[in-house]
Amino acid sequence: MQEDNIAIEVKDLKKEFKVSSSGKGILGKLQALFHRRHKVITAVDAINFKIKRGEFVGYVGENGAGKSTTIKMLTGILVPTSGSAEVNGIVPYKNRKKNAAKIGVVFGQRTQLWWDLPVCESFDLLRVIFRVSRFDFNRQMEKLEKALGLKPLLEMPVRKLSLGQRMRCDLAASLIHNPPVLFLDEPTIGLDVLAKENIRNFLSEINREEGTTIILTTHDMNDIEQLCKRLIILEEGRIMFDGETEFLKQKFVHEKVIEVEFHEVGCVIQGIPGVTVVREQGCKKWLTLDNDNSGIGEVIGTIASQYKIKDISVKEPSVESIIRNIYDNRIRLSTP
Amino acid sequence: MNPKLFLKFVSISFQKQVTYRFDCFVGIVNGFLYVFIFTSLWKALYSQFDTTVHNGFTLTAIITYAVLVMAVKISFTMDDSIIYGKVMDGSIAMELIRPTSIFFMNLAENVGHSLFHIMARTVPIVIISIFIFDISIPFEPVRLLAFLFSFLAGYVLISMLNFTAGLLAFWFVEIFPFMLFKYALFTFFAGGIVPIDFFPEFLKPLVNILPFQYMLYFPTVILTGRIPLTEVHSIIIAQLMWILIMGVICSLMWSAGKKKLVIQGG
Amino acid sequence: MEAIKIYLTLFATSIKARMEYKASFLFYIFAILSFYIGQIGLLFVLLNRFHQIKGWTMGEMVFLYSLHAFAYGFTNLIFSQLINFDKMVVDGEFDRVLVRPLSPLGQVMFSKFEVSTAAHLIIGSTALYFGSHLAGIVWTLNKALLFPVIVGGGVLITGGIRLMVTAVAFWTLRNQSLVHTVIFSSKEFINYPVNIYNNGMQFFLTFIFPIAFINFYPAHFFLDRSGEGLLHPALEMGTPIAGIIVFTISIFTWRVGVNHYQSTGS
Repeated sequence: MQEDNIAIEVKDLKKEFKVSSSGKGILGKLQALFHRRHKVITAVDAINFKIKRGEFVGYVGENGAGKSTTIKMLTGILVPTSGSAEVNGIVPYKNRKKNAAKIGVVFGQRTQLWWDLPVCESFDLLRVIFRVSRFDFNRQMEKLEKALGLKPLLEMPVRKLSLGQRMRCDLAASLIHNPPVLFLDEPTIGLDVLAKENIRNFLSEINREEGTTIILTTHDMNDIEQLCKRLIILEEGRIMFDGETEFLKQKFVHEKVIEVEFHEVGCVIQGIPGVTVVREQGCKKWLTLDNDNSGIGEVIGTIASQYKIKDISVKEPSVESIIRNIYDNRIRLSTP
Repeated sequence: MNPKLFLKFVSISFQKQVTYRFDCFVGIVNGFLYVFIFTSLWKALYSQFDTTVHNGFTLTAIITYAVLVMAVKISFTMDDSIIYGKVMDGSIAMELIRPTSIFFMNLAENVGHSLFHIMARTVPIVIISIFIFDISIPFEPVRLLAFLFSFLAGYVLISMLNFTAGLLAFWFVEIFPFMLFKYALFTFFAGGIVPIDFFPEFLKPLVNILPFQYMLYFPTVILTGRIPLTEVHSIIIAQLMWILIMGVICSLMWSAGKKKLVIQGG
Repeated sequence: MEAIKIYLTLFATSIKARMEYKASFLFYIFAILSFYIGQIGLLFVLLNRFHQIKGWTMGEMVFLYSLHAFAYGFTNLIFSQLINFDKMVVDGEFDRVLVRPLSPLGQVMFSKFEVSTAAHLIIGSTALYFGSHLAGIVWTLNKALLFPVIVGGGVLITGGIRLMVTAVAFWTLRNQSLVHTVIFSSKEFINYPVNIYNNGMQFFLTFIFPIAFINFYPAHFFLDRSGEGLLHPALEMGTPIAGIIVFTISIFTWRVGVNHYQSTGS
C-alpha cells in the first residue's frame, strides 16, 4: 500500500537498451549495411526513490546519465525492463491514459502546441483532450494568464512566438488539467536570463501555492539552486546523491575558494595550514581553504602580512562546481 | 569549383545515403516494381496483335527500353528539396559568403546521392532484369561513349531543373505544388513510361519545344541502339543547347533570389 | 461517445491549421490534378495506339481509375499523417502523443488534414462520369448502393496497408522508402487491369497485398464483365471482406509496434 503523501515511488527501476553501432567512412558504412554490432546498455540501473507530495526535486546528471529515460518511464512513454514505479498511485506504463490525465509534462525542446494555430486554440483543444470542464478551464486559465502574462500571446500563432514566450505557453498548456505532478525536461534550455527568471518564479509559485509536485531535469544549476529543495544526481544510471540541496552545499562549504590579486608576480604562499593553491594566473591566485583547520580571517591576515594585496574575494562553491567535482571524482559521496 | 572539394561533397552526400540500410534494400524493390509493371504492360499490349513491330519497336526493343529507361531514371535520383530546404531555413544566406558556386555544390551533393543509387539500385536492377527479361543492348564502344555523354548531359539538365524549382522558394512559401507539377510534366514528357515515338502527332510539337525528352528519352534510346550512330551528335548538341538555356535561367534566378535575400533579409 | 467528440475536435483543429496556408490550397490541388491528367494522358496515348489493354477499353480503364481515385482520396482524408509518421518517431513527437490521455493512433490520424482529398474526389467524379459514359455502364439501384460500400472497402484496404507500413517505423525509425514503395509506387499496379500480370503477381495482388480488390475485382461487377484471369465470381464482392481483414491485421501490427516502442524508445 502506498502512503497518501507519496506522489512518486520508484523501486529497483531498471531500463536496458540495445544499441547498434554503424561504421565510419565509406567502407565502414557499406560494411554496416550487411552486418551490425549490437550491445546492451543500462540506461537506468535499479534506482530507488520516493517523492512526497509538494516536493520540488531537481533531477540532474550529464547527458546519457538516465534522466530522460527515468522521466519517460514515469510518464508512461517507456516500459521498464524491471522494477516498478508509481505516480499518484498509478503504474504509468500499465495505465498510460489514466496516468497521463494526472500529470503534466513539458519537454523543453519540443512544443506541445499546434505550430500554425493561435495559442488559445491549442489550449482549447487540450481542454477537450484532457476532458476539463469549461468552468474549471476558465478558472485555471485566469490564474495561468495572470501568473505567466499570457494575455498578449493568446491570439498569436505559435510559430511566431519567441522561445521564452513559447515556453510560458507550454507551461500553461501542461497545467490546463491542474495535474498534481509536473514533469519538466529542460524547461529553461535556450532561454535568456529574464525569461528563465520568469519561468522560475512561476514554478516556485505553483509549487508553493498549489502544492504541485515538480520534477525538474536541467543542465542549469541556477535552476536547481533557486528552486529545488531536493536534488537527485544520477551518474551512469545510478543515483549518486539524493538529499537536500542545502545539505550538499553545507557539506562542501569548506571548499571555499579565495581569489587573491597581488601587486606583483611571484608571491609564494606557504606554511598556512589547510590552504592549497589551485590555480594562478599573472598576479592572481586561487586558494582553497579547508576551514576545519583555520578561519578565513586568519588566512587573509597571514597573507596580508606577507604581501601587499590589490584585491581579495571569497567565493562559496556553487552547486554547479560541486556537481562538477562529483563527476570529476574529486569528491566521493555516499548515497544517504 | 575545386575538384577536390567537389569530390569531398560527393563523398559526404554518398555516405549520408548509406546510413540507412533498410531504405537501400527497399529501394531495389521499388525500382524493380516499376520495371515489372511496365514490362508486363508492354507484353500485354503487344500480345493483342499479330504485328510484331509497333512504332519502330519490337517487343524485345520495347522491353529493353522499359528496363533501361527505368535504370537511367533511378540513376538520376536526387534530393530535390535541398535548395528549397536551405531557402526555407535561411541557411542559403551562408552561400553568399562561401567562395564556392552554389550550383556546383548542389551538383556535388546530387552526384553523391546518385552514385549511391546507381550502385545500390541501378546495378542490381539491371542485373536481375537481364536474367528475367529478353533484353538486347548493342555493344559498340562508340555508342557506349555517346550514351555516357548523353547521360551526363541529361543528368546536368535534371540537376538544373531541380535547382531552379528549388529556388522558387525565394518567392513562394510552399513549393511542394511546383515540385509536383514539375514531376507531372517530367513523367509525361520525358518518356519515362511511354517512349516519345508512341505519342500522337498533335503532341509532338509540344514535346519538341520542352527539354524533358533530353533528360530520359534520348540518353536511353542512344543506349538501346534505336538512334543510328550518325545522328547521335545532333542529339548531344541539342542537349548542350538546353544546358546553356537552363544555365542562363539558373543564374538569372539565383541572382534575382540573392537580391531578394539581401534586400529583405530572407 | 466522448472519445468521438474529442477526435472530431482534433480533426477540426487540423483543418484550421491547414487553412492557415490558404494561398497554396488551390495551386496544390491544381498540381495534383495535373499529375493525374498526365497519367490518364499516357493511358490515352497507349490506347490511342493499341485500342485496348487485355480486353479493357478506354472507358473501362477510366472507370478503374475512378474507383482507385475515390478510395485513395478518402484514405488521404483520414490516414494522411501516417505518411510522415517516421518523422514523428525520430523527432520524439510520438512521446508527446503518449503523454496524453487518448489513443495514440487516434491522435496521429487526426493530427493532420490533407487537402489532396479534394483533388482526388474531383478526379474520381470526373473519371466516374466519363468512365460510365464511355463504357456504357447500366446503373441499377444495386450498383448505386454498392458503389460507396466498395469505395469504403477500398479505403480500409489502402488505410490498413498504410497503417501497417507506418508501424514499421517503430522498428526501423526511418522508413520513408518503404512508405514510398508501398503507398505510392504500388498504386501503379492498379492503374492497369491486374490481368496483365503473370499468375504469381495476380495471386500476390489478390491474397497477399490485396490491392486488386480496390478496383479490378469490383469493376467486373459494375461493368457487367465476365470473369478473367484468376477471377472467381465471389471475388467481385470481396472488397469489403478484404478491407476488414487488412484493417484488423493492421490495427494489430500497430499495437505491437507501440508496445515495441514503449520497451525500446527511439
